[in-house]
Amino acid sequence: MSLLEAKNIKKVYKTRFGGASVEALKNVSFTVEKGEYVAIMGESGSGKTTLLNIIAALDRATEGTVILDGMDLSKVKDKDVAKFRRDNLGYVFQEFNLLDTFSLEDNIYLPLVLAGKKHAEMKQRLDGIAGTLGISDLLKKYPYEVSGGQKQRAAVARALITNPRIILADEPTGALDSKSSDELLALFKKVNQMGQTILMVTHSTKAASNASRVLFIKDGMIFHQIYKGQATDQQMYQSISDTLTLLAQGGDN
Amino acid sequence: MKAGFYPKMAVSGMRKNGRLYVPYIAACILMVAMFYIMHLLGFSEMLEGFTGAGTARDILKLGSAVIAVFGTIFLFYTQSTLIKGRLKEFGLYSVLGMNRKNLSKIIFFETLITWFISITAGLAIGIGLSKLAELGFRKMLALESSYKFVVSGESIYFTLLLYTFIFFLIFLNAARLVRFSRTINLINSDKAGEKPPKANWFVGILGLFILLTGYGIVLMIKTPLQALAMFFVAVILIIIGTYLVLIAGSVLLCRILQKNKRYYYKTNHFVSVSSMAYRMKRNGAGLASICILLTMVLVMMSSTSSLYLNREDVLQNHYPRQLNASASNYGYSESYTETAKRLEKEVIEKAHEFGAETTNDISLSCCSFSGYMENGRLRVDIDPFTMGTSINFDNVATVYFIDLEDYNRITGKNVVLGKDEALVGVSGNIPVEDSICIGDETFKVAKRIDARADELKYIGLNEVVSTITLVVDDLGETASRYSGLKDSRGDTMLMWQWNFAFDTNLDEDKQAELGKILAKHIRDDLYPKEQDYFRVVCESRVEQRSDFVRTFGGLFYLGILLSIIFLVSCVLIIYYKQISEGFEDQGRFGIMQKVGMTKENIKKSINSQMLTVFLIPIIFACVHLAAVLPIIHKLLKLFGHNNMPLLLLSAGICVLVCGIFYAVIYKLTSNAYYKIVS
Ligand SMILES: Nc1ncnc2c1ncn2[C@@H]1O[C@H](COP(=O)(O)OP(=O)(O)O)[C@@H](O)[C@H]1O
Ligand SMILES: [Mg+2]
Repeated sequence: MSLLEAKNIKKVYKTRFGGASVEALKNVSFTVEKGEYVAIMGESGSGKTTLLNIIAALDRATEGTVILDGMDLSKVKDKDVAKFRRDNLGYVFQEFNLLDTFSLEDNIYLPLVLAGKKHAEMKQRLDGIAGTLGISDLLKKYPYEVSGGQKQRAAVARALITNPRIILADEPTGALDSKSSDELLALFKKVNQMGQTILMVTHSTKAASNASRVLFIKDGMIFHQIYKGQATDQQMYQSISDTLTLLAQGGDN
Repeated sequence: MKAGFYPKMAVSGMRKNGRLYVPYIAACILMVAMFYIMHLLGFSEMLEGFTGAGTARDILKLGSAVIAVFGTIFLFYTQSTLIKGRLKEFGLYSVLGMNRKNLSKIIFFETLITWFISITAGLAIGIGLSKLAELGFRKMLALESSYKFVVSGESIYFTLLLYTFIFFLIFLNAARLVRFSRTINLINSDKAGEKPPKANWFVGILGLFILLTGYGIVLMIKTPLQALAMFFVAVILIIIGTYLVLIAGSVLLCRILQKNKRYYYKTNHFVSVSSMAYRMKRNGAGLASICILLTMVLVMMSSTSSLYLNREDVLQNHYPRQLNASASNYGYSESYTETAKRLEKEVIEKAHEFGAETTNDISLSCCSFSGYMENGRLRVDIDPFTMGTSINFDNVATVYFIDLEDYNRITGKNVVLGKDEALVGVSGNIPVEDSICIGDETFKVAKRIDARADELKYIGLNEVVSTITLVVDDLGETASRYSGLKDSRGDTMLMWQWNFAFDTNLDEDKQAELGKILAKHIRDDLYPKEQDYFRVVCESRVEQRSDFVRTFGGLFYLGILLSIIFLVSCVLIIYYKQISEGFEDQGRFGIMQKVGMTKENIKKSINSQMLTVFLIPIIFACVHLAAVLPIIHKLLKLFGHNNMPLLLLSAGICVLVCGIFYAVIYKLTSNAYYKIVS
């Protein structure tokens, strides 16, 4: 059984006064296996964020089901959603979403504190990942004192510290310069090699070429997918570019 | 650029920021209206032609000065908060190509518009409400109401002058704020990461120390005169202490809580403690201002209302009977007593002539002088009032000698005293053992008495410094031992005094008439001209009553008006605090929700923060009030008010009313907060 299974997801945004409605997702189905590193690509406005938000239970689908490790998201009660997300998902945002009132350390602890964990345990978990992420020396600093790349690494730590079943990342390199982007992508790769499942949304070809599989979304539908297999990042980059060109020309698969 | 461009920009800027500008302009209007009313009541001819008008108007004049000063500070402060909230917008304009001068022009027109609205609406409301204010004033002071409607050109002129000046200052300040911030800072002004404040141990502890010193001074003071001397020192220490404690101390407290890992890393504490630590430094000052304003309101209202309500008591103490005569002179001689006897006889005769029956009469004489308590002895060789700053007024004491015969007559007792024995009563800061030393003489304490008990209080012990009352076997003999004492100016220190008071069967109008006749009679016919310093007066209680009502009513009225101003300012500070925090927290709660915080968690955390921030100022204000009540009690004694239970009751009621008002305001403004956050 797949770790994540999205079936026939449809999302319609209704404008407030009952005017025109936007169909952000028409009919999206895909699966993610345990230990996979999947990228979802698409142009701006193609519904990537919408899809990720539905998977993260930040939003509800108009139709269709999302099943994570055998649990149907639509069956999770509203009041349990936050807890579900805390226990099962790690989310990395484009704009970091760190709280300026907390030091990086406390930012990372936040989901564990919400889960009611003991300080000793939190510390132990953080010690386990801080080295990998290269933020051991930054923990006492506040978000405004560190660079964007460092902020994003802290955000990754916050996502990892709960030992989530899957990491969801929405354009994690979107707000970073190219050097920081490379570092972050290398980090994702490393984390993935340690067994962590990752689902990443991006419109950067370079970011996507790191993934083991790339899904293309257009006009609210999954359009195409490429497996990396034994290909190098370079070859993967090339085949993604080709697909994007094809998509832009309006061709079909 | 086209004419009318800047005014248009100004109008649209103010419209867009209506949430900030409407309360600000409302406050401006209120200040203008209040100032006009105060000025009108204090300076125009409106309140003229009643006894005590001068005092009452002086009090109102003082009030208009307070409003002018406070209003300036407050509007200044509010407007800078407002401008700081808009720096980003100005930054955008400057990116779009406006220079500092253009920005200043926009600000100029904004200020001009605010000025125009405030002045016209303020004066209109002031003029409209002035009659109401006057009627309220007349009612409180038991004056006849008048039906004349007065508009004073002079008051309008002064209001216009003052507020034009204030708005000019406000404009300069705003222009300065915009001019001295760089464009990049303007754009980033609210995004720029602000370092959470460091716990400043030094300042926090210093603040606590200053605050406690202020309290300590209040608690150490024993007499009203010392209270008067030290009151402002204590008040200033308490204000400074409050600011330091709320700014640094609260950060310190949060930091200490954060150090305690087991406490801090709990769902309920984590978010609220850290965000409080973060904003305390900025909001500490706001909280302290709210706290000080609340304290001022509480102190003013409890003291003035208690004075006003207690006026009849004070009157009765000063004027124990319907008609009261007294005589005094320096030194002591047998002839004084004879003069007193003659005066008593003549006054009674005159009263009978007038057709009054006299009853209930008291006649009592005493001798007194002041000295300085040192090592358990009242020193009379130094003059306390020439000691300069080294003086502790708590050690100044006045000693009163009463004849045993008078004491026995008044109290209906039959005490016998030996030579150098005395009945002793003290108040204030006087230790008493077996004997008491007054100058070079020592008196054996035969028995302690209460010198302020009903029968004895008519000698009129002063309420200003400590007092020692000694009942001695032979007043003449004792007085002669001290009659040689001179103060530093060479004047005789010993003072002889005689009080005579009686009731009649007359109605109030007649009492007043008799009082006037007796006063004239004494002045013209009975005044003992052969004795230089002899002073004789006669007053009726009825006439004095209106004077008391006027003074205390005037104070109470002023207290109410100033309280309104202070409370409104409080409301505005709280409102801006909630709004700005709302905008700050908007993003934060979004993030927390994404990271897995439930809506309930968020609500709980908001509520606990709100409650803490709500409770801090009012709790501090109540503690301040409790701490300064002793000193207020002593200051009120200067007005002859000595009614602690009433003061406590007024204080209690004020706390209750103020607390309810504050709670309502907080509820309303926190709705503004919730609206922004969700
Ligand atoms: N809350 C919303 N209300 C209405 N329309 C929305 C909302 N969020 C997104 N959309 C619309 O849905 C479409 C997909 O948006 P999004 O998922 O953000 O795209 P992407 O992340 O791929 O750029 C867009 O056309 C966008 O305008
Ligand atoms: Mg997006």
